[in-house]
Amino acid sequence: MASTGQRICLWTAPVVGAIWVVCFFLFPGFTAPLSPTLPAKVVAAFYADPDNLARTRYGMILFNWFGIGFLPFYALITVQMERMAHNTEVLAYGFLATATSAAALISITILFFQVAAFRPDRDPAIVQMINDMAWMTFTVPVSFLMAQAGVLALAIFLDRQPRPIYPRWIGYFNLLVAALLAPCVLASVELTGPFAWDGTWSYWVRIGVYAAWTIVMFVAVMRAMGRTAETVISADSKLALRAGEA
Amino acid sequence: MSEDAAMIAGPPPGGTFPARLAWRWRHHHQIELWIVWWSMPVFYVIFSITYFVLARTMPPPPPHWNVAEIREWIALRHNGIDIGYILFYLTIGLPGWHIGLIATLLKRMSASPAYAYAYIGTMAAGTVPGALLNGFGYSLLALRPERDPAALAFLYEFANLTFVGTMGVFFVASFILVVAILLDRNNILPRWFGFACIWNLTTEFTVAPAWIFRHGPMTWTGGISFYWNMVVYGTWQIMYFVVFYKAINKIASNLPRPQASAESVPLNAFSPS
Repeated sequence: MASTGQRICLWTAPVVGAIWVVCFFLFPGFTAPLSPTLPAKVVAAFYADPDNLARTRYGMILFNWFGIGFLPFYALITVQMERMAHNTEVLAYGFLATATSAAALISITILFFQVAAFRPDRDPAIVQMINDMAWMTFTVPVSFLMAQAGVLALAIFLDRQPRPIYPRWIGYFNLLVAALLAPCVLASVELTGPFAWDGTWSYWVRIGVYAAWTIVMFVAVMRAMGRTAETVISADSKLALRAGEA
Repeated sequence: MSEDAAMIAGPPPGGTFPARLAWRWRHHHQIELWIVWWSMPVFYVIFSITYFVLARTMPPPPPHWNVAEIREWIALRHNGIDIGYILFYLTIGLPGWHIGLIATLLKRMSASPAYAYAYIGTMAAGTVPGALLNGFGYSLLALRPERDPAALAFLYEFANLTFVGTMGVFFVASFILVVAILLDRNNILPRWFGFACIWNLTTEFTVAPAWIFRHGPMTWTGGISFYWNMVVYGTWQIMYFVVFYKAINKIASNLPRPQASAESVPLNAFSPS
């Protein structure tokens, strides 16, 4: 059996995921993402609208609390990566570093949305600028997730042991995730079309890919957890055996 | 042939480059370290091309410009900023891998594993203000150059100041390296590199006046705050590739073969002989 501490880390993922879904439906800018082509006055009017304002403020307070909430789950993946048949911890540490940067960016995004909603009667040009910063931070830095998925894929392919921690197809799946996320960087230059920050690819596909990654990794981590607990026990029992021999 | 024998024999002679790479992927015991090491020059070459060749945002434009001058500066490099920062945004995750490599080396030093973990924390946090936000500033300038003058000036200053003026994360990260290297009795990294890190660390102080001055050598594009910083940092960065390359070879000879997870739980492979 896995330890209680590990199981808590694992089950924070669906809880945080469910809260993220609630935030998604609370903030009207998530269910209908704001187009980058909107004039400053329309952007300011979006935040000033009383219904939008309340939903933005409360939705983002909730998101602020749980924006970094997936880190315990990522830490659990790091622990499992340390159990892989590698010579060093380099890939596990690389995963932890990229995951930390990616999670920190969600927190920064939320701050921008909250500042925009704090004083919606501000000069519309300034509201638009803060809104631009929020969407840019939300959409463009996929590279951290790509590096996170990439290093995990690498770790899985190099986990050469009779019973690897994760099945090999999870490695290919992570490579696919990294490839699907890559075009989202075009949101830094496109105001319209599928790659703009409200576009089909940069918004809907990206969110779908991230959700799919989280669900697949949740199941993979859960399955591996029994395994790693088992191997730790067997390592301990080996030590016990050796102590007995001595 | 057993794994060990294959490794000692090396790649079959006369193979093509892809064949030798395939051999290394299958047999090389330190393949993960080398893949991460090679991502360093890849990232820094792309980074340099973005900043110095395509976007030409380095060296930075001066802080005293008016809005018309800022608009003209953007107009001259609009496509360069667009293309350059697309490359930058695709690769900015790679420094996270480099953090992993440096933490792996720090963990094998005799100071304490705490230095490895402290390095992961400071640098994972530091990548965001120290590199990414500055890119966003330039991209947002290029995205809407017709923007309101107050907003335009804010983004211009935000971009330039976050690039030059992110100090604490790199100061603390360098400090971690200095202490760990100078205390280390396992000789993972050379002591002179520890002293070089002190030099690099001091530039985080000389850039501080950039937050105050708009004219002269102390501005974000000035001789002291920018050019001196660039000379020291650039030299240090070249040393960085070399010492990490050598350190991988050094710890390589002390690494065990990959093992099944049941036996690989204690991972601290390095033991000073």
